Amino acid sequence: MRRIAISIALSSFAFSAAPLAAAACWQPVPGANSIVFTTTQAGAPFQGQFTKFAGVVCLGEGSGRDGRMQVSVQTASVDTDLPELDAALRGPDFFDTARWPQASFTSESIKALGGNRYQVTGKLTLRDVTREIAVPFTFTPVTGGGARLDGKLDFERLDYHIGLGQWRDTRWVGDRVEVTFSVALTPAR
Amino acid sequence: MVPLLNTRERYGLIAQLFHWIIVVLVILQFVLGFTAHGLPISLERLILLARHKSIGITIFVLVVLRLAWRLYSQPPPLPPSSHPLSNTAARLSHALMYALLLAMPPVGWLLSSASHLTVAWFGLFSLPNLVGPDKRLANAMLLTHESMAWLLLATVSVHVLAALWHHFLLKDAVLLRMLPFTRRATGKQ
Repeated sequence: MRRIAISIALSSFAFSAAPLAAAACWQPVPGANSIVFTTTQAGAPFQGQFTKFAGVVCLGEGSGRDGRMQVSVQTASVDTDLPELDAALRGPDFFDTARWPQASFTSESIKALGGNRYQVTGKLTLRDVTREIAVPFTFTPVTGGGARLDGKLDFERLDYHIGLGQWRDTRWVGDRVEVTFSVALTPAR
Repeated sequence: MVPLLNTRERYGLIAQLFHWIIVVLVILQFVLGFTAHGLPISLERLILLARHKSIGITIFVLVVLRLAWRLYSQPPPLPPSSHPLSNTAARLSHALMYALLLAMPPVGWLLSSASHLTVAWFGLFSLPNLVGPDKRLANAMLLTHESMAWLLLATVSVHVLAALWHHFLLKDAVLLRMLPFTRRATGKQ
């Protein structure tokens, strides 16, 4: 069901069966992924996730310098296991999903850090705010031709206008948000 | 001056402190719990419930210490004039209040855990989640917690009426012996 935002056309290697082909592009395997965010409420850790997102990651052979990454998350897919809270998070004080149905990340460059480690620099857009961030991640080929992408980033939610009005209070709702992602990838086609 | 330990005639300072501090905290719990219950998702509700949870943990610890103290320092016996039936009623209602005060915090903890909300003590440390998110369990625990609150309110009402009955109708010292500022704790027979 997951729609892939970025199309295929990018890669002439799309039909290559080899998992580490040069500048190969990958997309998430539907249903095998998570984007989890952790913040705090009243001093206790609080977790939720986004269940619907799409993206593509392309890594060049060896150095990976010429790679790129694009991710878009459906903000309305926020899920905290508390339906009442999910409704509030979709509302105007938080993600305002009616006005901003997508949150996105678009890379500017990907640096290989050695081994399976990389760092991507790019622009994160939440609501009406776009800021440049650097995100380290690992890219691990798995048997069967797939791969796994894991990483985490953190930011201050108020920098992105997440939590307006009464929710600006950072004593009760933490400002710092950590996002971890673990995504199973399949060659894009 | 009230002695620290319980005597044959009256409760000592330690037992009285336990009693009256728990009285104040339980009243706060009712106010916080019922106020929060009527509110939609909001920062105010988050704050009220955070305090409710912190105070609940505090009450649980105080009740455990209080029971330990009760074992160490025997409470004064009921007046020999009182009816065996009223003695039994007193023992039963005391046991029920202790049972509810001990059971309500863990039920609330379970309710929070099942609701995917971690419990913290005044933001200083958090308790582990007892179970994963589970809406049915959360609903059952909410109903249990509420029913226990009503039962506690009923039992406390009986307790207060009984104390007043002892004081004003039986004219014994049962109420006075739990009050810190009364000189004479032995009632007129």
